[in-house]
Amino acid sequence: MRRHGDALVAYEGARAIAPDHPDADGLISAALAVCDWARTAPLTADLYARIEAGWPFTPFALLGLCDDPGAESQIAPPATPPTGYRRRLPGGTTTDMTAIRLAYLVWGHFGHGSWTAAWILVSNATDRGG
Amino acid sequence: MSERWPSGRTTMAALNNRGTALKGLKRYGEALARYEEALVLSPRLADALYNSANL
Repeated sequence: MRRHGDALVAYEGARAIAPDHPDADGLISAALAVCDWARTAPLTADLYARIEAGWPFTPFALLGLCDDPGAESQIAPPATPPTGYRRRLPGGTTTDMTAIRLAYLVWGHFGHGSWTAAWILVSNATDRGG
Repeated sequence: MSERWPSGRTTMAALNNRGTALKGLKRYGEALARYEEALVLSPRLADALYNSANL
């Protein structure tokens, strides 16, 4: 709803009550959305600790916070299937997951399912891979 | 959505859940109103705060 100011206030209040809530890192995304660097700076250090502890985070949002390849690689595997892996699809076909990996990225980038991602997934299912 | 509910934790949870259901229906304004009603009853209801922030 583009209520960025309200969202920041609500996230800060919620984090004060439940800092380990699954949506706690929404504060960082909300601060990024309004380029509030004063808010993001202290949150970034805290985010590294959370990533180290295994917390999931959106890869594209992290790109806006740091250029640490270690942190990026740590959160990327849960968000995308591994390369070089072939998965069997219904009907006996297989896929190298490239299109599905792309669909995951498109999906994550827009924060929700999109027709583009859905089309990639469907078209991949009909791809006659080896 | 207009009937009165008894006070208590169930009411807060119900309002929060209604907000989530309305969000699923893309009725975001109504969803926010339900979350805010829940927060009036319980300002420290973290789920409702996060849900209102996520809208």
